[in-house]
Amino acid sequence: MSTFLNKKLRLLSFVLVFFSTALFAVANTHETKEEAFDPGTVILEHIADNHDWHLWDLTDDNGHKVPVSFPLPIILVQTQPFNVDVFLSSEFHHGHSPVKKGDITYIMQGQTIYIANKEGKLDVNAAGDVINEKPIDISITKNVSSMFLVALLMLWVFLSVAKTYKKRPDQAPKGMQSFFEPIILFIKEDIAIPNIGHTYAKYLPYLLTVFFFIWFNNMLGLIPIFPGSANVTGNIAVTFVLAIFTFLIVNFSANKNYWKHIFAMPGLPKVLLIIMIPIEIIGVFTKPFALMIRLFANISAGHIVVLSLVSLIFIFKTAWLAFGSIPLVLFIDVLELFVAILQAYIFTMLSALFIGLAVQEHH
Amino acid sequence: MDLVTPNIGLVFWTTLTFIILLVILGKFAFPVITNAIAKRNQHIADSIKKADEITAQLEQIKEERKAIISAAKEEQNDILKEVNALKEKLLQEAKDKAKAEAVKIMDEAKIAIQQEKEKALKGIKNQVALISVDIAGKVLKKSMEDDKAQQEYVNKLLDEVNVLNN
Repeated sequence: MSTFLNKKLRLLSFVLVFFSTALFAVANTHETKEEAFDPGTVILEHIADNHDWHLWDLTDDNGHKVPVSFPLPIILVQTQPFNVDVFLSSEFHHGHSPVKKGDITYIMQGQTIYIANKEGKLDVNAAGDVINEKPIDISITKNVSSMFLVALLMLWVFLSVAKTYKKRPDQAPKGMQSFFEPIILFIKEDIAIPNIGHTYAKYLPYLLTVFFFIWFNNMLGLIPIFPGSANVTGNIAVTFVLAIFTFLIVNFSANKNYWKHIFAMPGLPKVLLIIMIPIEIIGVFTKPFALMIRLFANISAGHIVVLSLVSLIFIFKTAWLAFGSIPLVLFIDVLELFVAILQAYIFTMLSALFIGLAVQEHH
Repeated sequence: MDLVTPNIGLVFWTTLTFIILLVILGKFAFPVITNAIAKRNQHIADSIKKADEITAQLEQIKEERKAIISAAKEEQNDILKEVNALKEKLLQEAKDKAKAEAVKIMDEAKIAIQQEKEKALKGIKNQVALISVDIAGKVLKKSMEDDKAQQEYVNKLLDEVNVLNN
């Protein structure tokens, strides 16, 4: 059953990778006629968050490129005076037109939304930066909607797995249950228990949630077509929040030993404490900081490598290069399948390790 | 650097999504799963232990059965032996009794035969005596027909008496 499923999944991922890169190629060959291809901009656009869910571009009768995309909800909040505006991103027409809500006019430049000045224009300073006021932008962006999808997927997967356990008590796992059981047990028995010790049970739900959240997001990000392709775990905001969770859990569950280790390291001359205390305090923050950067950089790098290899076709303006770059893309995609679970494992393992260091009784 | 600046909206939604996931999965999914696995492991361990116990019990029962069977066999043997002994004894007794009876009958028969014999002998004796007396008489009568013979005989008888008296 599971080998059959594996085969199916393998085939599916192969087809997706192949098909989507081909699609990408077709959509962009038209574009190269009108403007020079800038791989840096394209790649950064792809890995950054977006207010639309871009599907493909069409070229209209006038030779203009028309992007086809799903509009996503824009939510803009202002505190003084308190004001919330909700509308669809299609109203911006991909940043080409301002949106007027009440007496406020919003202008989107790049992916940043500004409040227009009295003339309905943006103010630019001498350095060329926009200096207009920005509303608090809590739009359901591409990353947010992709993350919602992952959340729904996780709820469905794990609630139904849990239901199966209730329905078939004391029986051998079956189907989805048998796929996730070894992973859950691995996190429990090879990550949580060895690193945290006997108080592991309190932290296990967090470790499992963070592991599967990262893994599912990584995997969905590898699917190059809708509803995948969002670079959620390669976005610093997401990894920042996850790292903050680990930081808060570590420091709120830390015991006396942990703080003593920071502020009065045992067995150290008092004079050295002047140096050690700042180092230890920095250490408290560098641990989650490293978690944040590691996940962000690894996943972004994967996306960048794949996009760069695809971009080669457009840089050299020949479809023949696809024979070279597509196998490479396939290779990197397969590697990324491994990186997806590896990074989830590393984040979870290090979180468990930091929690373990904070709650351990003594050396 | 947009790339490395956390976007407030994404931070907000990530936090919200993650907390919701953590609460729901942490309450209704993961503990259920881990508890079910722990319970199942316990169940398997218990089942194996129980199976071992049952096997041991079965072994014991086998032993007991063996012991019971051998005891029963022994008893059977004893009973058979006793029965045989009894049979032998009864047969012996019957034989002895038959023998004794036979001996008794034989003895009685012997006695009866003896008696009959004696009786017959007596009869024969009397007969013989009578016959011999008759014969003697006749012989005597004949021999005494002349005087000489009578004289001789008397003499002889007298001789005999004399011999007897001497």
